[in-house]
Amino acid sequence: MQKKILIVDDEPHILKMVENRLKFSGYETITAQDGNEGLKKAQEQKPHLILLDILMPGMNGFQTLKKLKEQEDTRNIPVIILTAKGQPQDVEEAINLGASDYVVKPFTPIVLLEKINKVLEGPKGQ
Amino acid sequence: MDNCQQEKNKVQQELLESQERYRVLVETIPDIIYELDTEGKFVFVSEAVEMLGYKPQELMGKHFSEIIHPDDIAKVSRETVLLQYKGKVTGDEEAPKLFDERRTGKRATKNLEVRLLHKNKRSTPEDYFYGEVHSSGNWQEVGQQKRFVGSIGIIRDITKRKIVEKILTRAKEELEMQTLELRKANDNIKKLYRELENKNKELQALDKLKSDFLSMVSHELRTPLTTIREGVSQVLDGALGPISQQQREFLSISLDDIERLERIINELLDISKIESGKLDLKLEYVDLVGLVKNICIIFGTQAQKKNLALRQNFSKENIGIFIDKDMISQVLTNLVGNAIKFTQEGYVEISIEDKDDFVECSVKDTGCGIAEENLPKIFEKFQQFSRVAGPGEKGTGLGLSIVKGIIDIHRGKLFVESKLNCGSKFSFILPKITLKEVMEDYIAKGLEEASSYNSSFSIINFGVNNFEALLKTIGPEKCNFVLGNLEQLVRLYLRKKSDLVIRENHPLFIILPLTEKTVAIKIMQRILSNFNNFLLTNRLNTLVSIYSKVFSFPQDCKTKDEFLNFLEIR
Repeated sequence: MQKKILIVDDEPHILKMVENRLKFSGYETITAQDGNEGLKKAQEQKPHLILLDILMPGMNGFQTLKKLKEQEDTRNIPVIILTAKGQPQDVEEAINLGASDYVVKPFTPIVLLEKINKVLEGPKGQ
Repeated sequence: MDNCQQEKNKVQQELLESQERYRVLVETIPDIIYELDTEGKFVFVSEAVEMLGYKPQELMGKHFSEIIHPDDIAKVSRETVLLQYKGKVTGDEEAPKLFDERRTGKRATKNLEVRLLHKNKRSTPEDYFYGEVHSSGNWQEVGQQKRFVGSIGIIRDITKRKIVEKILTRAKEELEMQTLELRKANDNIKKLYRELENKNKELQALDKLKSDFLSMVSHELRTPLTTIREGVSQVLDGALGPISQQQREFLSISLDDIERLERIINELLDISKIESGKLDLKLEYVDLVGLVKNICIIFGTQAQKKNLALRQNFSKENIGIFIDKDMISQVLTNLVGNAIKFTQEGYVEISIEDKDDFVECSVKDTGCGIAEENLPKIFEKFQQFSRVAGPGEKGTGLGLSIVKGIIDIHRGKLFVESKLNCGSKFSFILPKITLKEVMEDYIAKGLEEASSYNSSFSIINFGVNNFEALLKTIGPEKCNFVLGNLEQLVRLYLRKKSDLVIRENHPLFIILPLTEKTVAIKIMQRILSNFNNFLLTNRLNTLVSIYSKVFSFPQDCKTKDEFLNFLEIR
């Protein structure tokens, strides 16, 4: 079965590139340009995984992540955060909020695909 | 009558003898002994006065002021001094001191300092002696009454003492002057030091600005570049439909140069990190032989294309050492890449030798070599010498300075030997750091980070119970298999870059910066249950039993030594 991935990022260029790369690698994709749209699409379409940018105008990645983990129907969807800073406190906060992994921007498609694979097929309970 | 005369003669004789004895006594004393009459004129002076150039008889009847320095006469004469004391009562101590003293006993003059003049040497104001005078009034009994007949005194020559005193005083004054000057100089130095400190702070701020700027610029350049590369490579990969041969060729050229630009930006970023001291060593126990073998696999096709032999030469099958794996890989990639780039025929040889306290690694080639005059500059930034490189192999001139920076922060040493047209040999040595030193470093860093972010720091410790016994029953190979699998499993559970696995052989430690004890325990339990599954599927569960512990700051350990103690690292 094709796995469905939701990409939440405010940068249209990155959104487009990541979307196309994931499609090419055999995933089904959904995109959202901000946190609210992301939350809504997560609830409606139940993706297998969410790629979530931290630095976004309006509701940022942390707030979105918190809401995703609070809601019963989205709680179990693994989230990989996209962080531009790569500061230990940033990653720490996201992991504490329930993120499964993180990717530091700018990332190569290989790293991104590896992390997606690891989270989707990694040890249970991660 | 005869008797009386005899008695008289005898008394006279004795008197003469006594007088003679006293005369000899007086003349033997090196001090000047004098006697004045009531008007202060000499009636006797001993021969010692010759030190002033006078014969005693010359002074007879002359006033004592004859031999006194004109400036001192008024200070030591009864006539002038006593006028000042008229109507005053003084104690013994403050009583006036006089050359022609009238008083006797306790109140007589002692230690009166006076300058004396030589009879003939009076040409300069410096020509005088110093005398110390003790004098007393001379009273004779007349019937029931005492009558003042003059003064008796002695003058001791204290010139030498005074000169020494003067020299000492002058020396003291000079010392005081010098102390004062030193103090001034010291103040100036302090001022300069403060200025330097301020300048230094400014420079540090500037330097920080520079590296902040550089990393900001690099980051800003990298972000759009990633999108560009991704776009080009997706078209090349056919993700957007089929492309023609010519389109492929042009996009490949673009991609090559995009990758080159990325390398340059990464190298600039590396250099700025090295220069600002921001490069953090992530030490792991690595088998250098395995690492070099991997690098050789990567460069295999490139060497084959140029028909170069890629030789490997190891002193042992495995050479384990604590290093930053990524950084040393970068060093080896750089040196091997350079060697292949600048060698047209012959071979490239990589050797590793395990010495007792360090490991030596070298990359030798039979390439074009480096001219002697260029060798000293070889590790400087942006240095590129006219070594002939193949097409598309232009470097940035930063590679070797990054190599040097990496070896430096490993506290190692880098050497180069080269001869033009005969090839080059780059070697580096890496000191062997002990497990204890590595752990000490990480614990110190973890504690510092935890306290500055007001957070926690945890270490998980995994090991095999009765490891020594197990080593005997199942052998080292199987033990390695178990521990290697444990390490691999642990790596799957690391959450972020700063999480670290440290294992020399046995046991294994997981460093978890900024991690609470409850979180660390969860991680430990997940690993443990998965590892027990592994043991079960490999039918090792009856042989191998695993122990696991978590120690956290601040609950369990507050200091580095407490951590080391609990983890039994000695």
